[in-house]
Amino acid sequence: MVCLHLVYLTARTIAFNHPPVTTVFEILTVVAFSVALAYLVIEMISRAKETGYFIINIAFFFQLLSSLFIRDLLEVPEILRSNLFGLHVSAALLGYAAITISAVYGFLYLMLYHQIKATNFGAIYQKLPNLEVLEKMSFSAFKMAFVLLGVAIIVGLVWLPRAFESFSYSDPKLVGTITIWLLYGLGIYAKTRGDWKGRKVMVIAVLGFCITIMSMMVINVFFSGFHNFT
Amino acid sequence: MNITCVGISHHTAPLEQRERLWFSPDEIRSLLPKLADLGADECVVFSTCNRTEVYVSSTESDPGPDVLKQILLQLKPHTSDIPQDALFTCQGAEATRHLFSVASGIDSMVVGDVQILSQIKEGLHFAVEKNTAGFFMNKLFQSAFHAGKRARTETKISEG
Repeated sequence: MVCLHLVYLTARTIAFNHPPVTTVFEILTVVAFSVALAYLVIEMISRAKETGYFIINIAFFFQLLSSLFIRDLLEVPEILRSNLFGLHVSAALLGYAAITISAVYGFLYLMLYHQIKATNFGAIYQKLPNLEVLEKMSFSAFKMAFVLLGVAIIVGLVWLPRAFESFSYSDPKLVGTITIWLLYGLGIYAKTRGDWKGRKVMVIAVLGFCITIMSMMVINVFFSGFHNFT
Repeated sequence: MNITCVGISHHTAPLEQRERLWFSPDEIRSLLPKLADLGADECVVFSTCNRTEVYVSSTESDPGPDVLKQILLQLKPHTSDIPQDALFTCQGAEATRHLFSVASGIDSMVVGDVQILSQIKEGLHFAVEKNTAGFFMNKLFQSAFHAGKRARTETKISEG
């Protein structure tokens, strides 16, 4: 299914001569693909297949929205046809997808943790893998997010000064993304050193996602910068 | 009286390694006399899904932590690739403190875990059955149970 989606995205790129990241609903189909791809990688690393149901529903929801409202745009600003732009946005979306998956597993961990503590061995306890597997999956996604956001930032910093005369390092979205990236880097450092583990790391994964969403909403609503192409 | 604790837990090793060092009740019963033969005056072993721990006390020469680690690894199959640092060691007051924190649920993956106390009690029961728990271990473990019970009744550690 991921391969078919990749074929679809490639075909769209060729047909319309720009990567499918120029409108919200184009971005949603890329996000759906990113979530599914990120999950596939995490499932291969952790070999735990029981949680696919939760993740694929999220990807399905995003794709459904995209399919209902997507428009086929032939005319887009020339800046959006650049391959580096496509790479920058794809890496960023994959990074945000990994942040989402990390938060989902973090949330599942916290739910299961509280169930076990309450000695309530109900449906959630029966269906989910153990705490350790959930932590491993969440942290794998956590690390993926850090790497991918790093790629997006680097590609952006290389490409943006060439593409925009008005480029500024104080662009709100750039500052916001770098801040989130540093937070995730700090989380990885603390976990690797052994200072943070288990429940603490899972709370950070969920909080990191909430901070990401809130900061993006605030930046998109209240600030303007060269990231606004409309 | 020297006390040594050697074990493996979710703090030191991943699940795949801990699973291979899980001891069933019968395996614990056959391990205890072997530890006594190595020079331990008293010994207790308990094993759960998240930890296996061996407590050994002696007045003169004791087996030593490295020997205890060796015997744990040798008695189970498919453990040759488990590194030595997957097993922890603590001795003296540190071993006592560790036992108390395990019994209280502080050291559990789910903090405040209520099952661990019954699992440790089972370990002591096997040791009594095999005559490897004497005055010292009984006193130590009864104190740990008391600490565990106090932690659960006087604090909110077990609340969700």
